[in-house]
Amino acid sequence: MVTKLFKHEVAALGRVLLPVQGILLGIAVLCRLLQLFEWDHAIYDIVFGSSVFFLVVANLVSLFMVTAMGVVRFYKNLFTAEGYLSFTLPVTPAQHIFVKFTAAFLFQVIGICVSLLSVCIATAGEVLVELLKAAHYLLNELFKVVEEHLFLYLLEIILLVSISFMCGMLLYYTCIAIGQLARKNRILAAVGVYFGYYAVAQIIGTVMSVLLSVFYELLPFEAISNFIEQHPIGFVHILLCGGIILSLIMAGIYFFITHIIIRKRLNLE
Amino acid sequence: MKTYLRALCLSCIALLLCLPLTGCDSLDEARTTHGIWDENGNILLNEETYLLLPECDYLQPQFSDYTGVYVTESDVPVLLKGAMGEFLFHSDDKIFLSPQYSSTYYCRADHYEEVTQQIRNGFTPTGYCYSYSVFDEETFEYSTSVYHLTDAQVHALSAVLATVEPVYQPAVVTLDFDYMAEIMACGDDLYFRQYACDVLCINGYYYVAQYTQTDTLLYEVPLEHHTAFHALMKTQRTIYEEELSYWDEEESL
Repeated sequence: MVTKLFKHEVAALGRVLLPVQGILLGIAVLCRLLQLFEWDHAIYDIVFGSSVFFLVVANLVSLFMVTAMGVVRFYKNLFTAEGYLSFTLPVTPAQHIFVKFTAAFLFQVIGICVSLLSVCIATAGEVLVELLKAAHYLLNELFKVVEEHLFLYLLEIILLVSISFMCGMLLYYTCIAIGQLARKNRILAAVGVYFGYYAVAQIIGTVMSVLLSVFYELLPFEAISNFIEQHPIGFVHILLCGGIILSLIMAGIYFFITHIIIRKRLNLE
Repeated sequence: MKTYLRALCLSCIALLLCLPLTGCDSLDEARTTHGIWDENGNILLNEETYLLLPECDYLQPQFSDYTGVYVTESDVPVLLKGAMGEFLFHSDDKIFLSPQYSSTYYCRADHYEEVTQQIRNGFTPTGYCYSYSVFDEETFEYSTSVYHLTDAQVHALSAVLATVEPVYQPAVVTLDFDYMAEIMACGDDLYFRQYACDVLCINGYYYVAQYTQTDTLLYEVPLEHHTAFHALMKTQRTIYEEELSYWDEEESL
């Protein structure tokens, strides 16, 4: 049942997102076709510059829409009239949440691949070859510095980005779940919860910074900076793995809160 | 209908396949300013080799518009030339390359023998000149040109230095002049130049200045040579008067 639910979720997201990504690829093709008429004149510069601008905007819109559609699908499917049908399915709330953010994650990956493809199309030809040469050269230079750790770094960065995206989606789900506890203006309440969370996070961050600067001498900063100096590669691993663990913990917290609210405090319209 | 649609699809595919074959003007332009170090420390640029010249104090080719090239190792791609390469100025005639803030010069292979021979033979000036910069209001760029002194002007300059008794001023004293020209002894091709003296205009009077470590020697130009110096400094005077009128306009606004 979970597989079927996932397929339906992917199909529903695809109905909206795939045309958007098709338009993005179309803009990339137009951008490339424009370069066939390359001309040393201000008119060409303006037109080409505009096409690049539109391509960039289209990329941003495409990536933004994945998050937006993921959030909208979650809300409509579980907290509006559609929820009456959704919760009659033989699927637990945890599975509902899991399917939603997994489908959104899949389309985020697709969205990133389509963005990269659009850049490749827009630069097809000598420019793309030179871009790939530059990327290859930079990776080689990085490999000379960090050697075999490069592959681990790439893996850790991919994991961190993926988990951060899931964490972000789960945060939006949590805000929506908390927002629906309100009797009226649930969407507004969800937005309020998000900004409240952001404000609290900023306050905690500021307080931590002040405490760190006040109690600077009590903390082993010198030992930490010595460690960074002697083990720079290891320090980057610690940072990345620390980020992954922190994101996992936060994602777990958001998942737990969302799950509890859906299971015990669901109040459909 | 199906045939037409098939033909249209095939045309689109063919067009897309042709796209990789098209070049890019910006990339071609970037390649013209991308040089490569070879194994001997010479520079390969636009299929020309530039060889390192021996050091020479009076080798001063003209680098007027500050255009240059980036020189990198052979494995650096053209898009990274700015980040990974060393910037070298290209002379006006594209024969010399020189790093910033350096008196090192690389000469194009076809002129290398001629220039090294001149360096070995020593510098024999055949005339005098000075450089001046003009601001182009349309392009908002400065361009540097060279003014060659005429025989009469060279004669007047030599006469002043030979016959006039200089006034000694301490080197720490700053001369407040209206405009000036740095006179260089030069060869015919302007590659070799050696500082000769400065010509200053102070309140409408001309002076020739030479400098030692401790003093400034000021030679006041006598009236009989005033016409020659007036013609010599015409370009600098024009630039000075244009700047004065510009600032007067700015102040009046």
